[in-house]
Amino acid sequence: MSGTRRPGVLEAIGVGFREWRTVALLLWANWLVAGLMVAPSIPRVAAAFGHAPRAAGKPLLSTLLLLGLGAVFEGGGAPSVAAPLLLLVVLQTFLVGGVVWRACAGGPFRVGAFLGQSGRLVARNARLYLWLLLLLPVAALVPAALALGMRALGLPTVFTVSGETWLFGRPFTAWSVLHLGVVALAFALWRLSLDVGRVLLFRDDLRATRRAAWRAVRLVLRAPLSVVLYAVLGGIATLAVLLAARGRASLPEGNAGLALLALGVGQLVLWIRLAFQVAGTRFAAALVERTEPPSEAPGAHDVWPAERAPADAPPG
Amino acid sequence: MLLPLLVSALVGTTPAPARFDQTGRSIGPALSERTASYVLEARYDPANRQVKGTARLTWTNRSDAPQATLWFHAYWNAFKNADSTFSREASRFGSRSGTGGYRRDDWGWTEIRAARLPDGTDVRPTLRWERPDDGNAADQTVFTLTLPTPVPPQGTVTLELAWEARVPKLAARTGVAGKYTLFGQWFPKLGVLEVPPQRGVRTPTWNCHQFHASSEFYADFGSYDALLTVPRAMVVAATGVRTGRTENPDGTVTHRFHQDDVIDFAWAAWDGALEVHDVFRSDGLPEVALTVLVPASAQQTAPQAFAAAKATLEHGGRHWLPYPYPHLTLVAPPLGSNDESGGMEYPTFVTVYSRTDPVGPRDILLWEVTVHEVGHNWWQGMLASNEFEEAWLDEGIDTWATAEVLEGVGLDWNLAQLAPPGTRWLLAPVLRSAVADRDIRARASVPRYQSSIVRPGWRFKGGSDVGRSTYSRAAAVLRTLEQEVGPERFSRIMRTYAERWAFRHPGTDDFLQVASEIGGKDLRPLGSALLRGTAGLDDAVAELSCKRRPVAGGPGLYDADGGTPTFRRSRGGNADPALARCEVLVERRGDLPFPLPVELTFQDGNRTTLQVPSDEIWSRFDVERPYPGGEVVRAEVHPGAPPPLDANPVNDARSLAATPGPALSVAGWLLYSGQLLAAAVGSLL
Repeated sequence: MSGTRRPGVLEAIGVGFREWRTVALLLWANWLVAGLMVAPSIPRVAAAFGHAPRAAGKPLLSTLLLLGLGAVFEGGGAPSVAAPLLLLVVLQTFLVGGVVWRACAGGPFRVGAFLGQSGRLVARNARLYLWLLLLLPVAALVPAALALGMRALGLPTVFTVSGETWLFGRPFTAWSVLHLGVVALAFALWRLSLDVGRVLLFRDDLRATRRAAWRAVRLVLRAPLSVVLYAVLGGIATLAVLLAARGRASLPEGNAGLALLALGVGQLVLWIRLAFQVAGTRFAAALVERTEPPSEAPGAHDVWPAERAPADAPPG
Repeated sequence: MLLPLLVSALVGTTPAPARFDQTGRSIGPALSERTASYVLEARYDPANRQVKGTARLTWTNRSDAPQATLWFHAYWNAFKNADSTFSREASRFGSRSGTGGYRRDDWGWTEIRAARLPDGTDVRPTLRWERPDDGNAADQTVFTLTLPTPVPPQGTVTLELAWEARVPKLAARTGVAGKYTLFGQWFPKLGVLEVPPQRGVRTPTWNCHQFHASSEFYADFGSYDALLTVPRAMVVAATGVRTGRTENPDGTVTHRFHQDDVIDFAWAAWDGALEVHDVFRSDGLPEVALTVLVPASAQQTAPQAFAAAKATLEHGGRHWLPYPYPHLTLVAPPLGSNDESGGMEYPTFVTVYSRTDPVGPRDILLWEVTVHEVGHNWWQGMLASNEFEEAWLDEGIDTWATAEVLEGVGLDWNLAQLAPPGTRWLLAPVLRSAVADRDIRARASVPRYQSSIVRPGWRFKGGSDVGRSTYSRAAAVLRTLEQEVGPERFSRIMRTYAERWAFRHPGTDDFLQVASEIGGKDLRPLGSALLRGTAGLDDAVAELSCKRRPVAGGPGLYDADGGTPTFRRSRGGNADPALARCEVLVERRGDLPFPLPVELTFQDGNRTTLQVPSDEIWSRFDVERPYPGGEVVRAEVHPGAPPPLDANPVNDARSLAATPGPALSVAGWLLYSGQLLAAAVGSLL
């Protein structure tokens, strides 16, 4: 983790996948949220399908299973979404402190330390997020204006083509893909600012979150190549997740064992997604190390354990 | 005459004798009464979206009463303002295909400029706007003209009409979109004078409804001869056979089309369309020339439209009635106009869909719409029911017919085909499926409906109620009747219905009469209950449980030898003889009082069938049999033949043993989807 190296996509991915304990914690949180979403449905699903010989052996995408779920949930019991997603916001805001710690410091993983860092930073990370949330509409302004301009010129974007185009035409043209690229860059700029801000909070133990947010934005704006690379990282993540999801969907269906296998492979899909989340944070940490060496502000190193200081613990 | 024979010899088929010649005129006796025939002349000015037309109308009074007042439709006035009945209903139903998004120049109208008898008598001053359905004073989609002398019974009148119209922006399968114009319901058109015993009327009655947002049409048969003048660049396709093409000095072209024995005339004028031709030939069936109009950007649509049309002509010709017309035109609209103008039927002229990158070799989207619209040529084009009041006779039967044709060619819905090009390689495995069209339609079944199937289109509760009732539910009713009489008899019912009522106006009772006669039992009570009631069906095995019970009895007080109640422990040791005591709870969750048999399957393989009393909405059956072997391992209502109207076929059977496969599949998929959603939202955090 040399401060002189350029932030590398491959290095970040490597860290993301090596940090398997961190990913496991994130997966646990993901399970918790998804489990709460599905929990209200389980009694209905069990009652409808638990002793249903007509449904046995039928493919998932059939009128007897997924396409018949409307009848199962007619009297209630549909999955709940809002409350579990609220919990996700809280959980992720909490856990992100630990993720930043792992991305910055490396070294041996200890759950206690992970949760300690998470707890230490949670309030500041929450405030930072709210500050940077203000940047999101600004970042969205560019692709939105571009989409409107392109529409006026008769050029398609995936956001302005008609619904009919999705079914009968070609929503993905050179122009719409180009616009998607701009959207990806705008999102990458915002998301990288968020990650950089979190790294700054951790590394420099900043208390002023508004200043941290502003510093992060300036840092990211001064490193346009990093924004592009971060977008590339996101693109790789999306592709990897889609390919893994495709593999999961290709599995045979028809019995309990295969259903469990599909669920297991589904966890691989989620694992990949979460590993890339860690990779994104690592990418931001490397960017901060390269562009803003650690300040000598008193107290900064107090929270950066010596054995996991960046210079001592290169993760790869 | 030699050419068809030569072609037939070359391709090895022997077509049936043609019913029409190559100019669209019938060979031999007329197939229909030709009550209302038209000679239409229209000039289209696309720059100003203006149509000027004349119609020479010949109408025969089929009734035994003189008729002085003639009723007409002026459909395009539905698009005249936001207060037309069509606009109001479309807005109320939340229909996308309304005038809600119209801007200043989008509105359209029809104005009758002149109405004269052959002797020059002007009857235009007698024009009166009528609102027979809702009394909406702003609606101008129906008008009457009163003649100075009534048309005597069986007499004929000829009227010369002149009209001018502004073409509306494309909506509800008519109008203009860019360089493409679809002319549906575009000329002043007579209503239908219903004559006893037609559809149960007792006195001659004009049936001429306003243009509604959720109903289609009704017209008499006749001969149509149309001269259509358009700019030279426009490709024109229309009902019937093209019989002439004349270049005019002013840069326009006049196309002439003719067809006998049809109920309507529609056409399309399209600058930039590709016109592709093919021929349907099959042993024993009349030869049909096929034309497809398709946008250049979606020309791969044409081969699939041809193939689907041929499959329908083949199936319909063999199972219902040979398609008699010499020509069939399919218009695949330009991209962007599929929603508003694709999927519409007119005699010998239908609109389908166009797709830039159809999935090969058979794209279910293109096949389904083509089969369905071509199928209308039987159930609406030849059996001209009143779609205002009994739309199921067209849409419901045609939905049934569509599933028949698709099953015949082995084509199912594969959701992977709905993915846009560029993503199919990635998404195809995720969406891969094979769901029969009839199963997709069966998903519309519910235990209780909002409306009866037989009712005027505008009296349904909403747009989805119309669709569910007249399409999918009506098709399920037909399947229910099929189940009652068996597939072979039902096939004969449909053929007889088609043969008997072709080129006439059947009603619901006429269909049920044929069904009863050919089905070998009176299907009218059942048919009426299904079509005129709101009851649905969801019969379910709600519970199944079994307990082992010792033959000698369980614990408790039993009379000892002297008659004194004495406590006795259970004698149910594992080695002692025992009974399997099982309880099965069966429920009727819908209102249809169908016979409800329940088949119980025992562990030893024996089976027994019980009946739920017809006046009960639930029954609990207690069954005791020797253990082991006497446990009920499966209970099933309607064994072997689930009713097509059943809202939830999964609950028709229940097993004693758990079926973890489907439960885990569904629960696992829900969990996985929740995880993906959480991960996606997590990207923003």
